Amino acid sequence: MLKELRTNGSTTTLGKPPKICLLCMSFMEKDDLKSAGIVDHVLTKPVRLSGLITCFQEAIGYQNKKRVTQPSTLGSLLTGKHILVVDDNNVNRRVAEGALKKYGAIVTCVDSGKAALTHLNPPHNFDACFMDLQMPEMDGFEATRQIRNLENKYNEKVDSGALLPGMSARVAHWHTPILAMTADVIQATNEECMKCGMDDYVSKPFEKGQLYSTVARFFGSG
Amino acid sequence: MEIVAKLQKQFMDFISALYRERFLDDQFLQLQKLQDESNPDFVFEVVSLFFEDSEKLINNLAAALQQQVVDFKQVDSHVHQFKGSSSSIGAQRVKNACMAFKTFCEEKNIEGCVQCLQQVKHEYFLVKNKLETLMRLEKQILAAGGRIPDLS
Repeated sequence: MLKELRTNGSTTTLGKPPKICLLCMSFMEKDDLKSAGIVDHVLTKPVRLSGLITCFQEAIGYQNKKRVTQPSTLGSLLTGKHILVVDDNNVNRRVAEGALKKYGAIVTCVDSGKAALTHLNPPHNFDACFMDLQMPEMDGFEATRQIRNLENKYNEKVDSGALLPGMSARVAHWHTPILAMTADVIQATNEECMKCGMDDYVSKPFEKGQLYSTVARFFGSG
Repeated sequence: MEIVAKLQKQFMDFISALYRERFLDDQFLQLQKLQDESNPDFVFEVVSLFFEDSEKLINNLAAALQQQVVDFKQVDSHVHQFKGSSSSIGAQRVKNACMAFKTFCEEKNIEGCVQCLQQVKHEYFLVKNKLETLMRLEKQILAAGGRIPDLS
């Protein structure tokens, strides 16, 4: 059926033949079909967001030379962004840091809610924070609550004219995106998570597709 | 070059078995992907941190379970840490053992906890041994001038 479509030379209104993207189950079929020129791209099932994005990018001729070391999509969102990682477990910290740095982020790691407060007290340079939920002394919920408190106080000062935003701040209204990192999704979607001021959550360890779609909400796409 | 090819095959066979036998899961593969020229020792660093952390946790767990009155909150906190770090590194069997351990903590079941600690220790030392062998093979390949094969 695909062969027929190709040879009939069907075209879109732009006069170009439409790209055909095939869904298949195995890697073996993929190469045969592509090299025979019957389809333009192949997606293997299960379809992942990141795979879909790559497929469309290739289809519209987007060239990314750095693909070997750095995925273009998360890379374009995170490169140069200052990210704070808060986790009391040093293996988790190191792994989260490694993943974010791979996409070009500038990462600072701290091991407690208290330390997070110090770093996220406005004004500061962080574009976002990934916060572990379960930590001793001050957990992620409490740390976030207190950070929002600090931000509100600062914003009030700016609004009342007591502080000029230009003098010591990059923005007039502070709200640093805080994303919960959690192995337990149920805990994160719980109302308390959103009530204390968190913006969203990501699973721990990071899953690329989910990380992309969550981060894209705050940093736009590319 | 023959030596390199031989070592690379050894590496591939060994690591494939680790995935097949579920000592490691996809997360370990993700860690290997994060290693590059700007971060050449990443996997070794993370694995070393994991070893250090795990041995402290095992000691803490043993001490906590030996108390006259066991503080299950404390035990749960240690198990949570262990589950987290084993999950981050892709040590699937250790992670699964921790999950069973958590359940016994919640039920405040001392015997169950003691048994689980044994199970977690057992799985940990198995995977530690495997990972040490893997790191050794990697070093040998690099020393012989070869590249670590890409599993993906």
